[in-house]
Amino acid sequence: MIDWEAIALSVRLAAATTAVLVVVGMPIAYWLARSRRPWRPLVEAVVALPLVLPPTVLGFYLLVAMGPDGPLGALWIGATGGRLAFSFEGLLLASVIYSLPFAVQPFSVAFAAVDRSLLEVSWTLGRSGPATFLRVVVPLSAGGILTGMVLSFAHTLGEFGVVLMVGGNISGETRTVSIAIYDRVQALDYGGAAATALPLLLASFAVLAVTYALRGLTVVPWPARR
Amino acid sequence: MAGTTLKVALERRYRRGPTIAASFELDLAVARTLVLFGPSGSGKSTVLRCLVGLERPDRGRITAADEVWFDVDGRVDRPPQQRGVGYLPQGFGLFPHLDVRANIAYGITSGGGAERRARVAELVAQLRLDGLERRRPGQLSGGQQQRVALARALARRPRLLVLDEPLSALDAPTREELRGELRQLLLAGGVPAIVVTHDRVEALVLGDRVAVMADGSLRQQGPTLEVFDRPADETVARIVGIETVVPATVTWASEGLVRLQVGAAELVALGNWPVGADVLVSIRAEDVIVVQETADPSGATLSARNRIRGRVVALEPAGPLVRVRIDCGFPLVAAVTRPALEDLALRPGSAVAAILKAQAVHVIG
Repeated sequence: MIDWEAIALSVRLAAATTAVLVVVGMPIAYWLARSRRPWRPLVEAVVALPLVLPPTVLGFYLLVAMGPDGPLGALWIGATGGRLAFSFEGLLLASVIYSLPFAVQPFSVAFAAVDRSLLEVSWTLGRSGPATFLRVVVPLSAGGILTGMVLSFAHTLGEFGVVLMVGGNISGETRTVSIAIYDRVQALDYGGAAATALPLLLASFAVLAVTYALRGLTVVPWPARR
Repeated sequence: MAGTTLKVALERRYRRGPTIAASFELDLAVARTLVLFGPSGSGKSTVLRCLVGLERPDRGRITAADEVWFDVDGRVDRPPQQRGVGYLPQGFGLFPHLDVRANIAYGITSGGGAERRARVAELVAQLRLDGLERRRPGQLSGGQQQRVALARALARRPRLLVLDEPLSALDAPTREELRGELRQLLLAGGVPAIVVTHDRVEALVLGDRVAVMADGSLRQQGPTLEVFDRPADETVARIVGIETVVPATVTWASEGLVRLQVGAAELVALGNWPVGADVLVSIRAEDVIVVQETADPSGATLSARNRIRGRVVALEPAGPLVRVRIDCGFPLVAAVTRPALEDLALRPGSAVAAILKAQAVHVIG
């Protein structure tokens, strides 16, 4: 008895998170790759924070911020009239923050590897900064961008602690696969848990295997900065 | 004249480093090449990057004809996109993910598709890239990459080409092969060029004029041979070397030997050059043997040893050696030991003969 609703929600959440991270993460990653500002390490640390923070700690702060009296929650109510905590949008925001380093780090490493003289040539050939980014930096960083997307997607599929804190367990809205499986196990329904867990395991394995095969090289999720 | 002149006067300060200052002019109406020449760290690349707009000078003014590119007082700093400079970085900077055609078309931002295709086709033909349009830069030889890079820069019809150590990333045989070709391409491109290099031969082959930089400042500028032949001070002399460098014309050639008319004198050298070719001859001072002049007039005969008669112009101490400047139909510099100097009783005005092996006469095309 596979919980298709939870799987669909998880895939939707992971896809949306990945999409947001591509848009939000690329500028941050590019800034980190190119900037020599003294406060760059601070930004790097903030971006990497979800890596070391227990998900419950991050989830707790997000929950407070997203509550009706929190800054984010109040803003959201003012803008949409709805609540942010325990909604899909709130979950999406939490996922984006939680998976940020998994997108930004591979993006940033790939961007930093692009020879700066190529950018300079592009500028002298009349192309603006953003045009140069799209025409030169992005194509030459395709491998790193793909890695970041796959890692963000997979990481969001598997997240649990943050979802539990800010999402709760609302069917079709915030009940993701990991919550659904946890639910089944709590109810001692091991068969149901296995039926939902197995497709997730197989799908994750298949995505990673295909990605690595396509790239033809080992993806190091945390390579040293060059 | 003012309407076509590039005027550069700038100063760039580094917090924990040297201050770099340079001022020079270049006529943009003629397709001549100015070489910015100097050792690594002399500041020549900084000057070039300020000119292109990749770095911001702390003081100064750059104008090209009636356009102001940079003016610290007027707060003008045109971005590289708006300077009309074709830039070739070290190693040429071709976009590895684009094929030859897309590389050339990259900077053509105006005009319709048909117009762009026509311009690309024109450059492909001009730079002999036919048949390579679909290749990626990684599949091209060094010479082909050089031609693609020039085609890409020329596609926007720049008023100036700027090359930063264009050949120094290449291995030695490729570098030698591309050097002469680059000269021809720059002449054929019809656009004035500024080339930065630390390589003496590159400076000699490529430059109509040369500006020598050392320790962050511009020490001497002028026609290339003049600067190499008459360095203004000791620093410049050290940078350009003390070798004899003179223009010559090939008058006879056979089986790896050539006879050269050098000023009023004739020299035999090794090499395969066509008769009538205009070349440069460089002779290291250490390779010149100075002897007292005898009645033997064998200098004119064809032998692998050149013997040319001349007169000592000046003697200059140079460490353990003495530099002897000889006028022998062209200015020749020899280096002799102090004992040899005394044996020969050399002084300004002495009549001498200089002996040069054919392989010591280095011909640069």
